[in-house]
Amino acid sequence: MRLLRLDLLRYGIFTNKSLHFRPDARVHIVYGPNEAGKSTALSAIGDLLYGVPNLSPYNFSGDKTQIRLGADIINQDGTRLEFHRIKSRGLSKTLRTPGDELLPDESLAPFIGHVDRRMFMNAFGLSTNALRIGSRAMLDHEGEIGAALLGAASGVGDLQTLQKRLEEEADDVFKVSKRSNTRFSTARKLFTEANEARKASELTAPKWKSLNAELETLSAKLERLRLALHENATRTNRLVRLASVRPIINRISHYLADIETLGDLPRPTATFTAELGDALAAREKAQSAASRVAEACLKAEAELADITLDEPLIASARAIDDLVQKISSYDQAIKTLGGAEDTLRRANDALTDLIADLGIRDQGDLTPQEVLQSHRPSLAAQELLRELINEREDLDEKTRSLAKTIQDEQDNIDRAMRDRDALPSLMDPGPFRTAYEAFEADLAIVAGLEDLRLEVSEESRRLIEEAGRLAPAITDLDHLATVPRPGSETINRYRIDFDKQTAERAQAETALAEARLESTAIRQHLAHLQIEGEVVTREALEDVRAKRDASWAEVKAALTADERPDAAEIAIGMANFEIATARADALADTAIRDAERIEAFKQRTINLQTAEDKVKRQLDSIMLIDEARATLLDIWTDEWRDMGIAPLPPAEMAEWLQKVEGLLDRRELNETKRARLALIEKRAEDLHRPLDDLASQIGLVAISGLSPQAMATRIKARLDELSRTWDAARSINVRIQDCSDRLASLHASQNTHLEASRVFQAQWAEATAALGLKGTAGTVEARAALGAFERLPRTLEDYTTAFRQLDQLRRTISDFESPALALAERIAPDLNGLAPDEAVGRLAERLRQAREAYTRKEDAELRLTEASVAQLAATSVKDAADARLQELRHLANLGPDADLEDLFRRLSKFEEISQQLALARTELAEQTYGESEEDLRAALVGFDPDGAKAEQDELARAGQQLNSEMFSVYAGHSKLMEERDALERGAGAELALQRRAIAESEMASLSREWLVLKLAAALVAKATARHRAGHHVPLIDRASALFHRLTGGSFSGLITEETESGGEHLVGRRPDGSTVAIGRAGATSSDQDAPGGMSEGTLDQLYLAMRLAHLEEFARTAEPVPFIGDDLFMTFDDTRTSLGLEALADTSSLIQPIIFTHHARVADIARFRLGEAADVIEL
Amino acid sequence: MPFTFLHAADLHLGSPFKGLAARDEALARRFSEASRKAFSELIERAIAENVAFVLIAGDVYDGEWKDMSIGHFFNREVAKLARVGIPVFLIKGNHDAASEVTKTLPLPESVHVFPENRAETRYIESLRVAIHGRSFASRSVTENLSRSYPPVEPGFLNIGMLHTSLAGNPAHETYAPCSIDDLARHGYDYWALGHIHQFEIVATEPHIVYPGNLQGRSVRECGPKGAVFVDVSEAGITGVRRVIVDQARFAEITVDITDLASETDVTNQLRDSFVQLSDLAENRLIAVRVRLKGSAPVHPSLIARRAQLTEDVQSLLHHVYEDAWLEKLVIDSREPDELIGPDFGASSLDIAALFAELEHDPEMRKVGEQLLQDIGNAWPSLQEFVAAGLTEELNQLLDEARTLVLARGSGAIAPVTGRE
Repeated sequence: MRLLRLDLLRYGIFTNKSLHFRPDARVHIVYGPNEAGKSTALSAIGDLLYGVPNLSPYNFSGDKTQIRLGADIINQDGTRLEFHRIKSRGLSKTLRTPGDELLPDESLAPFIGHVDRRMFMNAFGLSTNALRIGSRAMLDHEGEIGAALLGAASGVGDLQTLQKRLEEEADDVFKVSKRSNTRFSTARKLFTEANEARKASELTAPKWKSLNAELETLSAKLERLRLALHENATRTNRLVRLASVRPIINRISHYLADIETLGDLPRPTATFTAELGDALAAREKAQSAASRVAEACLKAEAELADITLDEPLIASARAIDDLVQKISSYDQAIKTLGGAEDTLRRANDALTDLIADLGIRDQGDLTPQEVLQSHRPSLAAQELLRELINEREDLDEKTRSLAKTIQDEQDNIDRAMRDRDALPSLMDPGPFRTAYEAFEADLAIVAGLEDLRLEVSEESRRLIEEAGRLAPAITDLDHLATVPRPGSETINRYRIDFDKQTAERAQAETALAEARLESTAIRQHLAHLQIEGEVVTREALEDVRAKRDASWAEVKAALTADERPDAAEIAIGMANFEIATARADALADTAIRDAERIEAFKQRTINLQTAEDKVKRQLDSIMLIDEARATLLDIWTDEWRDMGIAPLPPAEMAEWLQKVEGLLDRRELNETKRARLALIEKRAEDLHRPLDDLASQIGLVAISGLSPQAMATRIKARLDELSRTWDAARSINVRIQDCSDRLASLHASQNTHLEASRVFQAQWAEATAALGLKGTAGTVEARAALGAFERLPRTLEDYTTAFRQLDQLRRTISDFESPALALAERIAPDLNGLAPDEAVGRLAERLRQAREAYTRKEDAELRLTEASVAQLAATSVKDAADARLQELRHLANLGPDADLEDLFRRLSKFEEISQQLALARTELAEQTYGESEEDLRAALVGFDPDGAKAEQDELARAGQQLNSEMFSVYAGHSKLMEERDALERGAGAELALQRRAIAESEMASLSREWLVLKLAAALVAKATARHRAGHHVPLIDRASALFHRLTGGSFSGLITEETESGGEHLVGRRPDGSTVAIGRAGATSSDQDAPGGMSEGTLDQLYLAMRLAHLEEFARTAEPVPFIGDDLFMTFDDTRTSLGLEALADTSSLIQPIIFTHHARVADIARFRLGEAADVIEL
Repeated sequence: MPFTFLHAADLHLGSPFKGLAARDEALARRFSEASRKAFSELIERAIAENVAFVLIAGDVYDGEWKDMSIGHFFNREVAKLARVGIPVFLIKGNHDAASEVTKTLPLPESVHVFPENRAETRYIESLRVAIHGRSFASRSVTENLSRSYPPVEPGFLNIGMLHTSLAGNPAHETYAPCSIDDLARHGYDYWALGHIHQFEIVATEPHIVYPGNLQGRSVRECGPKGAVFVDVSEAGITGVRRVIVDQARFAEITVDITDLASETDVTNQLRDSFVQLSDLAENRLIAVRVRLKGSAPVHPSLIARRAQLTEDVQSLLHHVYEDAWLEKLVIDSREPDELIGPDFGASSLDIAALFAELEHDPEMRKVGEQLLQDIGNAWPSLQEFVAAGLTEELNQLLDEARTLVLARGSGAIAPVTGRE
């Protein structure tokens, strides 16, 4: 398929842009500088053929549904198709006719054949980057044939490295050979761990059964131990009890004996002892109370006797208390009195000062207070004056401002007048400008004069130089323009003639060379035959025989002569005859012997002749051709004679003539310009005088020597200057008029203002007088007076307050002092002479003491009364106690002498022992658990406490042992119980099993990952191997030829070589038969190939050659798509680029090569090297 | 007097969850506890519902399970029922028959187990209920057990308990086969079946019911799981209500990525599809199998970035639903035909066609088989995986390998259409 036209209807930055691909071109160069949309156009071809991807970056103006591409394409059969491609979701139903009718999806199939998008991108597309990656991969694998072929064909980078990487990734997952640290081994470890955990945590049936059996054994053992421990405890308890009750029983025995010792005791009632005790105690208590009361009576009477009272003082108690209450206010009044007097004085002074401030001289007999009250003006008068003060200040301000404004305006007028005087003489520029504008049209025409002149002369110079540079050179282009020139047809005819002659001559030369070669070969052969021995030719034999016959004839003649024969002569003749005969015989012998050789010699000699005839014929023929050529050359030279040109061969002259035609076209153009130049110059001359006149009118002098253009510039500048002056004068006049108007108005205002001031002065005099000021008083005085009257009410109030305060203090002092002194005089004359407050203090102290004495007296009187009453009561209680004791004595039948005290003591002792006995028996009962005292006394008969202790110790030891055994068995038992419980209640092996299942899943998933990676690596290996084994001789032959072409003959081609390891590798072959490998040992960084390996540049060329060979091979059997090179020659130097372009042109019969570039260099080289065959399409 | 009974089956207590690849210990723990928790919840719900009795139609344990602790757990849980006077009726299923636990550990007295050698009837006189049942004697029972069941007991509600695959359920091995008609003609009021893990009311006249298993254990058992409450009145069976007690769920979400060209598109599509997660999970832990399908230009790059994509999908799941875990990412999508290239004699230029041809090369199959053998040798417990690989999966693996090579190969070079 070939592209004839690509339409970027709505795509990326393009709208309705068409790229035309010339059908006769061999290479298309799509050139566009950066940002011109090269990449967009490049991408468009892919999208055109295979549809626009959903997320195309070339969406048109933000609306992706608007993308539209079109093309005109042709395939190998010559079928053409014009179609559009639009974008939609999905890649189907996007083809349209230019008339927007739907085209079936398969419409493109005959044009793109089997080439899918991936193949189009990778194989039919090649960028500099891809080229570099591909050639580097080839280098990495040292030109290994399989890798190199597959790599170059597919365009898929470095498959070998991809294979290696896939293998490495697979090894990270899992490695068959050894147990290494792979992800799989980690998962496997988890699996193993989980499995072991499962086994450990599983509660299996045997495990469970054995656990239960063990538990049963332990339970039985525990039961036995419990029984033994019980017996041991019972015996121990018995011994302990006997030991503990033994002292109690002994104590009981002692109590019983003690009771025996108390003798006979009368106890008529159960409460007798207590009653007797109570009666004895009551009598004792009554006796002691009576004596205590008597003592109290005596003490109270003695106290009363000691107390005296000051009655008058007590009578005045209230008056004293009143005075004491007033002491503090009195003291305060005394302290503040001085201050209050000072305040009153200061208030009085303030009033006096105010009078002075108001300037009141005459006070008469009045107090300052009264004077001020009488001079106080009304509030209305004060307010009026306050307003007038403000008004007067405004009037004064206005007077000042009016005077200043008037002065400023006067100054402005003076300044403007000075400015006007300073202006130069005035002239109205209007008429002159009109006159100037009439010339402007002509001036515009004249403006380009100099440029045109330069252009014409430069072009003339260039034409002469370029004509001179031509071979043959042209000395007079103008002459050439006037004489006839041979047409291209003519030249072509001559070219054919010349070519024919050249071909004939070459043919003749070839034949000549062949004939010469043949001749030389024959000569050599002849020489060879001669070396073997003399070659007897017929001529030689005949020659010798003739000589023999001649000798004989001479001898015969001499013998038969009339004269006597000269013996010597005959002898010589004979000798000659013999020699000749011998020679002839010898020759004849040789001839007979070497007949074959001689025949060969003879034949060769004939052949030689033929060959030399041929040489001669060819030489003649060449001479004839040369003569004909000389004639042709003469005619050819004649063709050019009129033009004065000694021609080169027709091919070159055709090119020459083409260039000359170009020059002549340009000359024609230049001559036209020259004519126009003359017209303009005339126009310029005509302009000169009128411009000069105008200049002198507006005061410009000495400019008549300038060009019209320069004159015009000066005139225009002068006119501008005149305009500026004219305008300035006009504006100053306007300014002066404005100022004068304003000044008149200001004067009027000033008069009005003076009148108003006069009226105000009368009001002012009246208002100031109201405040007691003179009519001449200014605003300052008026403000001072107003301030003073404002202060007046406050000052008066201060004075009144101070006066009242002082009066109050004086009253407080006298209210205290007079009653105090009077009271002291009356009840305490000894205090006479003391200050009143101190005297009152002393009186208060005396009153306190008197009050205390009074209280003490009242207390003593009360106690005396109480003691008297108590004495009567005590006597009565003692009598009752005695009577009770008598009753008891009767009750117990005791005589009056009986010692009641002693009886009570013994009875008490008896009751105490009885109580302890009861307690001991209770204690015993608590410890015997129902066993009777008698049984215990019986059991204790013969009880040995020491023996019992020893037995107890023995029992304790045995008990300890049993306990320890029991503890251990019990611990084992409960541990097992817990264990069983935990196992029963635990989660068992479920978690471990879950973890194992998870690890297993993980392993399966990793295995899958590993398999895919390994299979992927195997696929790549297989693909490479297949290419290694394939029949690639024709392909390598073609690649070899292209490589030869691309390297400019520096390499004669490619061959394959077997390496020591048995692999097959590509190597480059030099024309001299030496080889250059693909390997790192080469001078890869330089541009030079070294014996050890090819340079980077050569590798790139090799890769390109292989790729093109593959594409050609493909195109021979299937429909190809265009080959797209994306800035393919970016890293190529100019020579390599030229070679590369030529190689691409070579492939163009099979594939359409399209190179996208932003380097103008590539386009230039293409034009230069390929001429018309290069189609440069600018974006 | 109306009453309700509980019908459960296929507890499969203690068996692990299949196919999870989670490396999270806490997650493994949660999954491992799910079956027990589901059963505990069932018991709680039965007590709360005050059911009259409980039927368990086989497969309490997993056959291979040897851990007694699960038996104790079962006994403890049913003891809770005994304490509130709820009797349990149980038949042994194929798994129980082979179970070490069943053989070793006696069941509590409140659990009535039906004998293996014949069908038997137990009565609950107070409710006028007759329960007929027969346990599996061995792991494999191929006879039609339903024929051995006693005739209808007149005046009683007749319930048959049977562990069966019914006839012709192709997804399950055949156990105690019988037809729906066999059961219907028997005249019982309710057939409490077990063995099939999917809830199904097979028939309503009479009721033939599979309650399904209590807890889904692999992605083959998706959706809500539990048992059924059966309501009974004087008129007979009045309703069958599901009681959902599963603690974790499985779900499979298939995402169609047809025509998508970028991974961002795929991510968006996934996010949209995951919206249903919350509804599927109902506040439970959920394990999700995500399956991509359709023909998409983005397919090769998904294959090339499988590991990364898996992580992305997992985090996307978390993003949409906090307790969602990726069970497995299955990439069932494929390249559009346009990208694979037409099938014709592979030119060296056409790398896609070349690899497509190699993919079907018998030698490549041999390589794959050898690699699978290597795995099997290295770790015998992966035999199942190896077997699957040898039979079905190898073609898919080869296809994926081919896609991987092309994706990685294409990525290695700059595309022809470079951008400005």
